[in-house]
Amino acid sequence: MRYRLALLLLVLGLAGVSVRGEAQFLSVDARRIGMGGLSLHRAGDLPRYNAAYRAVPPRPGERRAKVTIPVPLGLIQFFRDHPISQLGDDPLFHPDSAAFNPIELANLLLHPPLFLEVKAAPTPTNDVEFTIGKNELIIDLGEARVLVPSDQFGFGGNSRVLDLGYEFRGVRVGVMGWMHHDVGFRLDDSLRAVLKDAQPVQPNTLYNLLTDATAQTGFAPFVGYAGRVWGDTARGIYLGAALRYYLGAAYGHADGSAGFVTGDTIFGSPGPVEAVDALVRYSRFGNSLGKGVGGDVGVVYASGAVEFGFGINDIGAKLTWSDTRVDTVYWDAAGDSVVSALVANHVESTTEIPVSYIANVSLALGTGTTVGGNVLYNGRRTTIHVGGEQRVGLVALRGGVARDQRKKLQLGWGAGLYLGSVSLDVGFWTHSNSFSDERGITMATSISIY
Amino acid sequence: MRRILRFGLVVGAAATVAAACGEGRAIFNVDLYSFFLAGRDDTLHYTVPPGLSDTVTSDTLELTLLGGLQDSGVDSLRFTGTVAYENNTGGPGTIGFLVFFDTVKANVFSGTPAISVSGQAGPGNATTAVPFTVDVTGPLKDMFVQPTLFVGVRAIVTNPGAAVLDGRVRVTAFDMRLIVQERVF
Repeated sequence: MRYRLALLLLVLGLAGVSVRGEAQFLSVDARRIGMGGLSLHRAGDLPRYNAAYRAVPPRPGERRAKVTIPVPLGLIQFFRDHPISQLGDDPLFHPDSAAFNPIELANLLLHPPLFLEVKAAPTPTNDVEFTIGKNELIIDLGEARVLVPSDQFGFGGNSRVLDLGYEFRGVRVGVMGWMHHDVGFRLDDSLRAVLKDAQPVQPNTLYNLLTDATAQTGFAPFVGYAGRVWGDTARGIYLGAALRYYLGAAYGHADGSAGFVTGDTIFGSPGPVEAVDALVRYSRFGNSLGKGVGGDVGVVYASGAVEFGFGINDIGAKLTWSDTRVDTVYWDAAGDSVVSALVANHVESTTEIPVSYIANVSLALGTGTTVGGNVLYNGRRTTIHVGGEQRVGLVALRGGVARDQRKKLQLGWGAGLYLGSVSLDVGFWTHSNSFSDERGITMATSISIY
Repeated sequence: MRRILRFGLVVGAAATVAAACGEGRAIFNVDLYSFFLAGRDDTLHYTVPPGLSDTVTSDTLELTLLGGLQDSGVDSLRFTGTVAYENNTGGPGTIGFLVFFDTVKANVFSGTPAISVSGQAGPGNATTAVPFTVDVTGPLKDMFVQPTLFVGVRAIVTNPGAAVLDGRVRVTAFDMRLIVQERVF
């Protein structure tokens, strides 16, 4: 069981091999999913990443949903397959079960079953062969070798988990909750050769997985402004800006490696020795706050049917943590465990929240057709979305394409039925949010109330 | 063996999980002979008076194997190798070379041998090499997903001749191929 849990951790840790970033979890809105993740209307990514959109009025005839409620058909299916009363014995969550597969569990975490999976991405299958002798170890992953990353991989992103405020004449004062995490891994040359090229493990050699991980969270009081600075409602330029005072509540950073060192003989006495070496800096909740100043700016040009926008977030957001602790973490051979020791306490550390931005364009034709596209950088990787919607009476037809964070092309399509102040929407999208090179297809369903 | 499998597992786990290779039939090709200490682990000496039989038994050794595979199914288990009957004097005689496994130390030699190789010793100063290939079936193969296993080796030597039969049984090659239906990968 111990190694199965280790496997699971590795799965989660190495998830970036196949899956990169939370941004691939598109939305709970089937309308947006039906356009491949594009925020065509003034919701979703546009106001999130462009401070000016707060002041941009709706297009003529456009209605903004007051609320969108996902219809979680995927959860219904999931709990039918995995009854709550039997979760304790469910092989999916039971590492001692022979049927337990950490890949399946990782796929579940990476792609939560909120919506119905109409085509599950198949998990690649092939045998793994170990050739073992006293001074020999070869690991042959077969065709799966191509999935071993050659460069750094990982996951990360910024989230704004809270946005409360009061607005008056374009000026808004409030507080925002924020989270940032960035986890990166890299196989060193020796380990990569063993895994990717099935090279024999060599004596007296270090094999390492290099890790660089940061996670921080806090809140940020802000004051902002958004308004039209030129023109009128038919044709105008809108500017937005927000100045934020970032207060960090907790922070952790680890930089190090984990692996093993072989001896004169690979399986001689004492044999390979675990090697763990990392420096960890952290400040727990309740400790002194990290502090920093940053801001957002955005601009939108709207002229009739055409609209352009560009917004950038967290400019200059550098936090200073006045009281952090630094530990060294290493492998204790005598105790056969990982231990940590204090290096320094009450020292100052600094972190940054990476800049994120969005550039978008849209065209609303008088025929009920709206098309658009955007480029979104979420602080780690870039995604591109292009899509459109065609209204035909009570029905809306949607479609879109996206280049996801794995640089893979994904498709979205869907439809909506407008019934007064309610719309019933369905959207399909292909995705690569699993340990597979093949795409899955999710069917999202939601109800929007206007 | 402990180190073999522990190390192999760690590396293998990282590898296979990193590669995300699904179903996961794990195949272990282990050169067991390379772990033997020459002259100690690979050899049984025999000296049998004329007209008698004798049984030479090794010490029982404990093997620490993979942990966490107890619920997994063994798809197949095959041993291949070579036993050399290196006779010094006497003969010809017959030698049965037996390898036993069990999860209980006290029961090692009470069960059915997993490997049974027969051959001729002598006559005189002669070496007879007997290759073997054994596919282990039934409950015995399932022992190899247990975390601990005990192994014992026995040689049954029969000397029908008029001279003392003296020599040694020596393993010169010993490989294991274990295929496990294990979904951890």
